Parts: sequence; C-alpha cells; structure tokens
Amino acid sequence: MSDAAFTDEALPVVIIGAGPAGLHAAVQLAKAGVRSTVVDENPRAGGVVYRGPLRQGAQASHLEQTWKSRVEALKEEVARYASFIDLRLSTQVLGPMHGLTRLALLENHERFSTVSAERLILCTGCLEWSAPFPGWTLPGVMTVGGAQLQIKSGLVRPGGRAVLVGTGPLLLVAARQMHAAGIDVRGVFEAGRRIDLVRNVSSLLKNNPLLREGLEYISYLGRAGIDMRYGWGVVQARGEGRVQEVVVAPYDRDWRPVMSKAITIEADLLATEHGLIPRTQLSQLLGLDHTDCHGIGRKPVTTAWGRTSRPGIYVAGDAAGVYGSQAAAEAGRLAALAYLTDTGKLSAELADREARPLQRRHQSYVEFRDAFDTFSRIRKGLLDLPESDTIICRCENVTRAQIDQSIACGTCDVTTLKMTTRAGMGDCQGKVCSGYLYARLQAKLGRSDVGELRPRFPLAHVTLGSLVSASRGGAGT
Amino acid sequence: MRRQNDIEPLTGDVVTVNVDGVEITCAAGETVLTALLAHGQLAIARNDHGHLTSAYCGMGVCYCCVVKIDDVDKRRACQLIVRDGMRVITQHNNHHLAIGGDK
Repeated sequence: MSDAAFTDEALPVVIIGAGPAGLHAAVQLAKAGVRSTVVDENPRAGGVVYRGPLRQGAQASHLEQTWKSRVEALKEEVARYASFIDLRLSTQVLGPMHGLTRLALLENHERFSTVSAERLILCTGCLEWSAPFPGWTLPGVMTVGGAQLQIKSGLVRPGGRAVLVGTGPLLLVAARQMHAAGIDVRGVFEAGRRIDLVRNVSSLLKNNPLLREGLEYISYLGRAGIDMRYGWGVVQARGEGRVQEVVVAPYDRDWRPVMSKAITIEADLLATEHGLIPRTQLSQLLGLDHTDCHGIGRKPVTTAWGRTSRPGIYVAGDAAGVYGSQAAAEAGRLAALAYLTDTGKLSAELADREARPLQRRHQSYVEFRDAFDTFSRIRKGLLDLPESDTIICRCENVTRAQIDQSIACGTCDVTTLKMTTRAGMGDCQGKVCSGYLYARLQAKLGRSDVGELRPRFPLAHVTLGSLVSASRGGAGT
Repeated sequence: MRRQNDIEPLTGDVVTVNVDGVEITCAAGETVLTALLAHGQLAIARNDHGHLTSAYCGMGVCYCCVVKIDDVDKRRACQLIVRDGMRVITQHNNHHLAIGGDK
C-alpha cells in the first residue's frame, strides 16, 4: 500500500496540540488574518490544564474561581476567532509519512487520513517524569496530573483517602482540589527541602502573582488541617490488588529515605509527581535536534521564538521545556510571530516590537520555575527506591535488576538498554519509563550522554481496518 | 454497580454503557475511565504480560487503562468518550492470551 493511496489535504499551517501554547499561537495567527488548523487527540480543547468539565450542566463548585475564569477566557478568545481556527479534536497525530510535513492522522481512533502542512507548530505539552518505587504499579497509584483530570474534567473522585508524594507546586494545587472535592487528604510529602526554597526567595519574589498563588495554596492546606511535610517522600505502596497502605519517610540530602523514621498511612489513592518533561515523541520523529533536559528527558533545541533545527517547524510551550501554562501561552504567541515573519506576513521590526512584552513575561515565568528547579531537581537517591524485582517498564514488565544487569554487562546507551531488556518497547513506546532509564544510565555511568530513545511510527495504535478503509476511500470506491 | 464517587450529582443527559456484561449509567460527555472510576472499578486492564493495571497517567500517555471497546482491543479508556450502547470489556488482553502469559 503506497502513501498515494490515502487522501491528502494540503494546509498552510498545522498546530499540533490545543493547549495554552497551541491555542494562543492560533489566536495570534488569526489576529494577523492567518487561518490555521489545530489538531488535538483529546475530545476538548484547553490541554490538560484548561480542559474544563466534560459532562454537561456541571457546577464544579469544588474548583477555584480563578481557574474557571481562565478556562472561560481562553474559550471565549478562541470562539472570537473561530472562523480563522479549524479545530480538529479527537484527532491523534501518528507521525510523519513520506516527507516530513505530511502527517498521518487518526480521527476518533478509527478514521485514518493525512495532511500536508507547509509549516508546523508543535505544542505537544509535557508528561510526568515517573519515579518507580515498590508498589507503583498497583491500581490506585496515579500521577498527580491524572488524578487532577478526574477531579477537574471527570468530576469524579479517583479515591477516597489520598496521599500525595513527590515535588513541585502541583502537589499543593492537587491537594487543595482533592480536599475541596471531598477526598480525605492524609498527607502531602514534598521531597524538596524548605531551605532550598528560602535560598531562592529573591527569584520567587520577582514573580509576585505566582508566589501569592502558591502561598494561598499553602494557607488553604493549613486551614484544612492537612499534614504537609517538606523533605519527606515515598518509600513504597502496599496492598492486595490495589493500594491499601503507603510508606513515607524523611529524605536525606540525596533523597534516600531515612527508614528509622518511616511511617505507614492507610490510603486508597497515591498521587505522585516528581517532575514534568517535554513530550517529544513527534519532534523526535520529525528529526529535530534534541538535547538533554535536566538529565531526566529530552527537549528539542529551539530559539526564543520557537524556531528549531528544521526551517518551517516550530516548537512552543512545555514541549520545548516545561515552564507552565502561562509561559506556554507567551511561547505560543512568539512562535506565531516567528511564523508570520518567516512567511513575509509581518516585518521583522513590527514582530520585534510585538514580541518584546511577550518575551519579558515569558522570562518572568522561566525565572520563577528555575527558582523551583534547585528545590525540586531529582536527587540520585530517588533512583534507588525500586527493589531489584520492582517493575520499571510497565508495558513489558522489565525489572530494575534486568536494567542494572544490562548496564553491568556494558550497556552505555538507552537504545542498547531497550534492545537488551525490552524496556521502552511496549504499548507506550517508553514514554513512562524512559525518564528513569536516562537517569539510571547517567547515574551508573557518571556521564550525561546516553543517547536517545527513539519513538516509532505510528505514535498510537491504529487498526489495519482503519488503513484499509482509508485507502479504499482514497481510490474513490 | 452504582455510581459512588461523583463529586456532584449528575444533572445532564445520561447514557448506558455495558461493562463486562453489566449496564452502567454514565454522564454524557465523560470518558470511559471516569465512568469506571465513578463506579469504583479500579481494576481496568492487563498488560501484554497479564499484569493487572489501572489508570496511571490518566491522560493518554501510559496505556495502563486499555480496554476492549465494541470488539476493538487496547483502546485507552481515558481518551474515549462514552456512547450509548457501548460495550466495554475490562482486564482483557488478546496478546497475553495468545502467548499464554508469563505472569
């Protein structure tokens, strides 16, 4: 079956991802009179952060008013320019085929088609860096982001009694949302040490609104009587067929649990958040140059305006380095300005003038996040949490012992690690375990260059039936 | 099975979905994963090695909530919206069954 068998649609600019970066890029283009196509695999626009309740008639009184206003504002802004924005939801990008900018799409999980885009703006967002620990594959262990989506978009409690572990501001946000949703929050354990926050207080103070939001969350948890501890983290989850108990302990400087002070908490939901990494599967398949991202992932090499190593392909938002939704909005606008300049629709001087305030705001969010990085950066003790028989690759059941044995036998790059153990070879294509594989290899070998785990086309499952019916359609039968 | 984990009562349209032979009530617009969690069902999938899993990332990344929907295997419950009359089979993995399973 040749590529020509499939119907193709020529489009000037396709934006991948309808989160804050993608939508703001589309709006910026629309303001300049440029039509764009925005593709997102989810049934609703907004990205994980601004998707909003999925069911009709929801009151969502457990959610913060400021967040609800932001969801509405974004929705209204996109609606205002609706005639310029061709929004295609429930549409997954499977990857490039036959030329870099011809993308294979799968709509509603079954309808296959392709689009040929003159230019692409990738706004694929981020995913959570997973720290494996004994019991992390038990039902009831979820990423903080996943638990939040159930509360914010599903309006359903993913558990009744929750423990939150890991690091970063999302822990506070999620703990508050869980409490407001009626979940018994049994404790919030932040691995970072308070002293590392205090040391960076001057950078944090530069971004007052974000700092104020953070302090509001902390005082909410205090008023609710929720146990919040700094310098503490997860040891293991235990239970028969699901999480029933969570063991937490104080962490030392290297984030090794001090077991003599460990405590056990009864819970049916363990939400984990150890950092976010750019979602690079598509940018990797497109052959963009990538570089290391904090030793736990990869990120495409980009300029301040989102230009990449390939002309005509831009990357914006968390997909280029994780700085949060507000930075992503500015990055989306900047990538749109780069597009407008590169296609001769806007003069370099005008673009520069428009970009200045965007860059200034973007920089303030970047500085705020960087201040958290010293506090939240993964310490190497965390990598020793899994026991030898703990599963690292959830798809292929590859254990820590198998990973370490391969490294002991001379494996010094992540591709060889994948081939010798099957880690990263399963259904998720290594999106969940690759972060640990990069970090483990780097820690064991004492060097940062351990190669890149390559994703494969198609990026999501596609049935043969979908391909066959698409090619018949293309032949006009 | 009854809904037990709703944060607020259902007020909009509802649809009926068949899960492992049992009819359940779902809010129109919600995902299959949300419907399962609303009913307290946490045991959702088996990976290719027969290992029991539940939603881990909840946002389409990890494939730990794949179920059989209307005879198609390995559909991510977190990414699919419920439809009236939909048939969902949980904890089913054809690959695992075909190779006999190692765990």
